[in-house]
Amino acid sequence: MPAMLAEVEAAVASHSSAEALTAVRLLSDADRTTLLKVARVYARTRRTRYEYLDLFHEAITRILEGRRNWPPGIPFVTFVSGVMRAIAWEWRTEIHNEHSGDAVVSTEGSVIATIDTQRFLSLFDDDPIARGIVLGIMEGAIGEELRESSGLGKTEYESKRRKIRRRIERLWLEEEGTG
Amino acid sequence: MSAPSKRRDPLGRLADALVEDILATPGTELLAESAEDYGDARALSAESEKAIKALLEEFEARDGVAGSGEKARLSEANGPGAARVSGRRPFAPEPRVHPSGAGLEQFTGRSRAARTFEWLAELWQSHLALGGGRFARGLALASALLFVAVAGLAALHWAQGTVTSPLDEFTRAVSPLTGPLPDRPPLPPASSRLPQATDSSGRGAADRLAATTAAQYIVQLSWQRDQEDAVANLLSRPDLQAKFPPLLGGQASTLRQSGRNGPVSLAGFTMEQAGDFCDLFKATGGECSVREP
Repeated sequence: MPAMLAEVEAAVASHSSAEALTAVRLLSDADRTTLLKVARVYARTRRTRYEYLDLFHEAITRILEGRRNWPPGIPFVTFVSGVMRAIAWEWRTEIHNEHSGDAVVSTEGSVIATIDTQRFLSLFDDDPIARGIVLGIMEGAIGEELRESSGLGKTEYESKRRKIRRRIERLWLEEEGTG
Repeated sequence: MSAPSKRRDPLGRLADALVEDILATPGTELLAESAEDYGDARALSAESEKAIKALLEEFEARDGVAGSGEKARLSEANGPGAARVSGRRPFAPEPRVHPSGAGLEQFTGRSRAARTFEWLAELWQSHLALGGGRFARGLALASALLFVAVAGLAALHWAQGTVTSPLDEFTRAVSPLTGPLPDRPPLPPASSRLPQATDSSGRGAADRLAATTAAQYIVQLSWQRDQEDAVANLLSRPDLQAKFPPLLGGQASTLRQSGRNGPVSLAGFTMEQAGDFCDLFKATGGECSVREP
């Protein structure tokens, strides 16, 4: 009985699928642009075998089917972004598990990850501060600690972060042949 | 070999930081970036729209989507990633599952009272089948009396549409397959956190929500200077003013007269009205989004 009540509680503590459907229908151009940019980040950095549109589609599918519950108080775009993050991780784990025990593939995966890391860092060879920020992020530095280590003021730091993001996005666009 | 660790994942950290930046960037800037990258501010938006168009049509066609608390009725059977673009499957709902885990397929197509009478009749027949002994006949007689009493109470209960428990109320609300009850059930008390029951018109949860959270939504509008006339005309149309009461408010009136090119917010829409109005507004070329207050 307690398990059943917990399920009922969980169900009523989230938006319904109908609300999620309405929210999807009402996404603005800016919202959709945000979500596809987020999808590209997760699809490209996770190195799944699927494209960012697949990721976006899968996230919306799961939400509308009620497999992912939209908690109240969370902006819908943020929620969808989180769902895409989880799916990208899941897909990457799938690949990992498929090749579990395959030492060659495992090593290949590590090499690809290392190449990706170097590729991102090399984008900022002309900008040591940006490179330092990217390196700091990869090592787990966050927030004020990261900003302070860059030696930049708040506005400059935000501007640098945007520059980093745009450079990486352009790299992906070039690779996709759409940039 | 263990699963990959999220904690020791430099690229995962970079991804999260990039996403954090994207989410913190104003929409107008992201649209400008899209214009810079593709020569069209709406390029990504259009791409996303195309990607999920068929999906939305499938769900909208279903007229009444079950509560998101309903557990994974499709997912596990189809496996992860079953709906990917490269191999999107047609939407094929499986039998819905009650939050408690019990299947609801037995509740489809017939009224609850009819199902109960059938069940009681089966019970009665099974008692009669016990045999011809005196004890069995006595038991059968007692059962018959019990049958009449229970059936009477059941009929009275459903005729009044009484909600007996939160679980009963929830069951009605989350299952569009339950179908219309003999009579329209009363609305839950205002203090209830439970969703509203499906009404006898078969309207979906969005409609129920719109009815119960009436006039809570804010529509945010923005448009370009060259769209001012179209917007002013839209806001002045008597038929739309009748359909969307917020258009009669002081703010909308000021808007019609002053001709600001946005962004502006109009409050007092139900969710359904907000969606419909946004569709109309977007048709004029403006931008529209809906948010809760």
